[in-house]
Amino acid sequence: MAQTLGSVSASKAVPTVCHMHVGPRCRSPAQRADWQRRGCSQRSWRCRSLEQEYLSSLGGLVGYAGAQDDSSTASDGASRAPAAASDTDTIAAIVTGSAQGAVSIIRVSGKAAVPIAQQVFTPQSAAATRRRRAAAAQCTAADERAAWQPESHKVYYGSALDAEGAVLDEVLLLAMLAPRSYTSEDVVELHTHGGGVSAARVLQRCLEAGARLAQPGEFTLRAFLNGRLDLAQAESVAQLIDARTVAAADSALAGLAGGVGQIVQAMRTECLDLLVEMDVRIDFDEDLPPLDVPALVQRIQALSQQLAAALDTARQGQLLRSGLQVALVGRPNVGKSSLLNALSGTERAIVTAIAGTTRDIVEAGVVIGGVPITLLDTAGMRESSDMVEKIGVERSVAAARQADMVMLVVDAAAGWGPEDAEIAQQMFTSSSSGPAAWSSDWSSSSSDEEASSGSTSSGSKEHANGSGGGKRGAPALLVLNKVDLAQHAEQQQQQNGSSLQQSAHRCAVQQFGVPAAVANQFAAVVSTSAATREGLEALQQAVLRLAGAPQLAPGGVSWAVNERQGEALIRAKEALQRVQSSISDELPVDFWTIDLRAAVLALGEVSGEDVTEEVLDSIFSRFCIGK
Amino acid sequence: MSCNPSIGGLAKGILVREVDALDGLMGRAADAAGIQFRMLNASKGPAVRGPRAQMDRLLYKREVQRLLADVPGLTIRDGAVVDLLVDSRLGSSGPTTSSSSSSNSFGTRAGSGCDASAPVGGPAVAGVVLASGERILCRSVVVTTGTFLRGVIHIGSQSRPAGRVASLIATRAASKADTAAAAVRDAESTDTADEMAAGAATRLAQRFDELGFKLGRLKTGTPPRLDGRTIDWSVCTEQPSDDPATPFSFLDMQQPGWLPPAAQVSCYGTRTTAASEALVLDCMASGRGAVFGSGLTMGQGGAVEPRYCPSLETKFKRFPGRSHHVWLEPEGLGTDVVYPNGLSNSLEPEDQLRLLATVPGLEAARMLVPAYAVEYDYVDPRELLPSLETRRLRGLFLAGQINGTTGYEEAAAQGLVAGANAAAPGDPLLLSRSDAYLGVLVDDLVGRGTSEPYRMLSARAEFRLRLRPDTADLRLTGLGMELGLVGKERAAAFLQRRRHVSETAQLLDAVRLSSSAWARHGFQVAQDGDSISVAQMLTRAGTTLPQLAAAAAAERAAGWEQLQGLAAAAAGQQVPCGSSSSSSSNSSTCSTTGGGDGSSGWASGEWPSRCAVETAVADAHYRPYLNKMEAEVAELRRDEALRIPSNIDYSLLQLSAEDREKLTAARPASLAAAQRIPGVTPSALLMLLQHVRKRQPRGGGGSSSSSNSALAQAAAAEAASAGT
Repeated sequence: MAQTLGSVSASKAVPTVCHMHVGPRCRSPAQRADWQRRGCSQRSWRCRSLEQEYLSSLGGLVGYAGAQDDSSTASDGASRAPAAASDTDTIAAIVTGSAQGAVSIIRVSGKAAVPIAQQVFTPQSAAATRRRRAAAAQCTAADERAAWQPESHKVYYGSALDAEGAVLDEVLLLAMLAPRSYTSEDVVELHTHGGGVSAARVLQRCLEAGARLAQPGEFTLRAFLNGRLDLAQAESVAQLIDARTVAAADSALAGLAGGVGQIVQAMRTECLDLLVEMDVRIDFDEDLPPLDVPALVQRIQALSQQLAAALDTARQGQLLRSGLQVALVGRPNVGKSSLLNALSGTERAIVTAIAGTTRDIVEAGVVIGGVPITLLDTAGMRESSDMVEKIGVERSVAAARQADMVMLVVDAAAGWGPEDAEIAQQMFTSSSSGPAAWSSDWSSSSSDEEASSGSTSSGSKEHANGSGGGKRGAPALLVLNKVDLAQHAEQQQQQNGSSLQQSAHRCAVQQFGVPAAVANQFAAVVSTSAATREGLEALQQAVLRLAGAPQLAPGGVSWAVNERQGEALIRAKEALQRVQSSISDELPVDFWTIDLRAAVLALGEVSGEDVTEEVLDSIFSRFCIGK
Repeated sequence: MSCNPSIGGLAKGILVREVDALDGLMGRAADAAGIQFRMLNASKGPAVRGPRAQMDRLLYKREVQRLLADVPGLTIRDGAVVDLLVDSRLGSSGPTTSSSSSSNSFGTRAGSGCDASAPVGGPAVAGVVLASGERILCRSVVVTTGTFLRGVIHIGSQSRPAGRVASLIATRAASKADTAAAAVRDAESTDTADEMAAGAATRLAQRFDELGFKLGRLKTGTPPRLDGRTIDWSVCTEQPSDDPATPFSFLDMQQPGWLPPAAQVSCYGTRTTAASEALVLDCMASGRGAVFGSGLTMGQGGAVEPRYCPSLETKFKRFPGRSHHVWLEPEGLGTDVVYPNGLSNSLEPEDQLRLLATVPGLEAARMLVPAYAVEYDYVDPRELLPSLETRRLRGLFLAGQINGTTGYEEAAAQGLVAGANAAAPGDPLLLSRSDAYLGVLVDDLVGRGTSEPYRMLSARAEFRLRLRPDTADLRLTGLGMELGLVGKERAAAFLQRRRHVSETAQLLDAVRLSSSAWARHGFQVAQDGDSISVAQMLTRAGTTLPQLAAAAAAERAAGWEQLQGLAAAAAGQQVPCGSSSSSSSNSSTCSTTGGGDGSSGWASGEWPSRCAVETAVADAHYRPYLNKMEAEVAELRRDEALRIPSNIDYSLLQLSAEDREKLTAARPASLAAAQRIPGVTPSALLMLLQHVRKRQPRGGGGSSSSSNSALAQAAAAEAASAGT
């Protein structure tokens, strides 16, 4: 397909190796904020309908690019599609996942799939005809488009047009008419160029033309509901699409057995307790002591804080499913490419002794401790008059800004130099300035205002544990490469414990001349040799630790929450906020209980229990009720 | 009334209002027979308030009989039913009968129309057999056996089959002279009927067994009865009736200046002491007291009792070192019998006497009847459809304690649902959890069953902010009218009240002041320059209509005169009329056509009643929350619209054994109900969803369109049945 597209539109060919950061990355700050908003505003605030449940439970497993990734590109109107989605809608989403590829596929499924395609797409033959006819006679474009009828299971080449008729992209269209399609409905797939922008625009156009953004797992749900798949198949499709690694699959299946699960359980118990305190006073006109409102408010506040903390942890579970982007930056010829090759066990990047060999971003996938990690090798940062290299450097900066973690690679043999210092300074200063921060936004959940205003990480990066004080942005690693060539190499130890971490920092300062102030800004310092593979394991450990995922080693405790569970936590937190505002607005106690119950339900959704009976059980065991 | 003669209470009072909204008799009878009215939770929000009233037992009974006699088309036949006639021919339409009848243990009503909600095929009920041997043929039977189904009462270690203890002794002992003769006659006939019913109910229970119904056993208890003349009231706390009293019935509520027709009395409170606790614990330790069906005493955990209505033994055991409330409630105006609410126990009678001596005020009290416990059979309510018709036997409906519930209000609510559906199975009365406590009650019972006597609690109603006691009529009476359940008088009164509420709401929305104007009158509002309506102001805690009306009047805001009139109506004052008013004596109606300038009068010529204003104000108060709840309600409706066929064969679905067992036991009527069955897995629900969708008839065109139309039909049907 890539070749086909490439051949028909050479001008828009997208480099297959280069990594452009313009694509819809699933963890951009805006999208995370969106994830949060959707967690509550779009979903019902207490409990969701059955189908909604299924969608999200499947979505928790499926979580493919679909709705989540592209919601930020969709118009507000479209992304606020009714929560009570029924299969009367025609749905659309980019189905090719968040990873970059040469081609993106937009799938449209439902009754209106063909009419929508007719609005969005014009086959080339028709376009040619139209031009000819337009010259000869009066014939509107709309007429032309309506006249075109796709045949099932046939590929058409043509253009996707916006509402004014301007070309958005050259695309291939594949129609699969009901019932011979994945969902058993009319399905139209539009194959656009990869790289995100084209696909996002075409999707946007489909939404304007009447489609609704599909929710995660919704195509599969429809396939299942229409009898195309049995349940086992639906689940395995979901896993196939989503579980990028075995660890992710384990985590999804293990649910919340330990770790966060226990924390959630404890929070739920506390919430239930509070609810009982209030409910008992509503249902029983007994001589109970009056509610201690200040104490209740205090407990609710404490609970809100715990929830925020759990959410931070929970968010890290996303790593399991969507992986981690790690950018290798540094001045030229410090061995970034060698390091990438060594870590990924490939010869992905071309390595030469010539500084500036890498002109563009090279990416390599690697699984470390069960976490899918994308390593981004970048062009060495230096002033350059070479046009191509200059662009490469710009891309390096951009990639580092988008990455979840940045490794600054320095040449241990050469020691710390002014160029290294400049890059380091750029790393740590740019992060505090505006939206183009280095950071990706893990901690925006700590404050809803932050999230909704779309600002980036003004919150601290607690999960970059043990790092220097007050640092902002994505966690950064200092890698002292080529230690085999350095004189002090023999004194280096394997450093992977937190107690050794200090010594690594000290060592960097003392032996390689890294200024202490700079060294302390890094969350970890590791010495490696790409050539001898020395220190590579320590580097992997450090990456995992900085990702906040020390327990992610295969066979370890699964504490990741899936998207559905994450949303439940957010709903719980928002419910508690409403309780607090009901209390401060001096509304009567029956108002408080409604939202508190919503919080219990949301927390219970993680494990699915029955609230009413629990409340009653607790009331009757704790209070002497009954005349 | 076999237990405490009181009606209503928290959540239960809302059930009474709902029964009343559908033109049931309970609310009207309770208003006529109430001798102490109280609004519980009055300090909390209007959604969780519960009207409650102490009844005069005799007055209540007479009132119900009087109201029953007035029901058109109802023939009452007195007799004990001992057996059911069953027509086991498959798909038979059953015999028809022209007569309706009821007896004191259960009634039958002739059904009509088609059997839309009934199980398809299978055996059907064909009539009943009376103790006299007489057979009454009919299509529908509603069984309401109370606690009589194989009932055994335990008085201390003595036990005998009965549904309740004879009322004669107490009545004879404590009746006041002027009413004694009538009361004794009444008690005699009640006791005779009880005895017959107890015998009959035992035979009926055997019949249920034979028919394969899953039966369970429940226990409940009742305290001793005391002679009020021997109680030292001076040491007790008085609890007088509310003034003014709030009636149950919407009909009475709309009567301006309604007052309870019966004389009002007070209840009194006292408390148990450490000596009471020591005595009860000692009795339990020595193994004295009732031995239950399990062969164990209460102290040995011999019976499962309702958690919300624990016996004294349980209270002392579970919450040691505490004093417990005892409410002394009169059983009527013409009797000195007092019901000491809170002293329920199953101790030996002599121990009970010693117990009374430990409670302040009761030291010298004469015990007319000892406390006793009752064990009785109930049918697992999961045997029922949401119409309360049994799955096993078409045309057979069950209501009340036989379904595992407790309380008069719960029984009345079920009686109404079962009765309506028995009379017109083609026009079923099916209520959603989001519409009524009635819906919650039926859904809980039918979907989840119960292992203790089920009592309605507001904690069970997740949509309780929508289910206010004062909106029961607005929620249900319209539907009742469509189904033919509501009489003319109520229909007219309802339409009037609904109009009043909506006119009031319109005015509350229409009268607006600028934010600075509100601020001038001491209201803390954001100064964003927007004008704010009275309705919006009412969502704020602590704001009252009179305050807002005063501010509007001072600012001369459009509509301020009417608003002041409303505020006055809400305060129960004379409504100010137009200048030269033809003021009627009626405190809440006022004509604008009588020569006044009309400008200050009410648009439709008649001022909203106080209760209508209160409802509209509460609506405004709750509006933000109700709006938020709408989405949830819509979702619930959608899931409820996905009906699961009653004849679904779960063994044909790919389900785990556990899921299959749970679904088979509960037989949920809709996906919404299936979702609430504890422990059913999402996979099972998904299978069920697929199954339900698949069996919808396929239309032409794409597969999605066919299921859409089916969904739409289902939704339309649901909307129609919801009625609003």
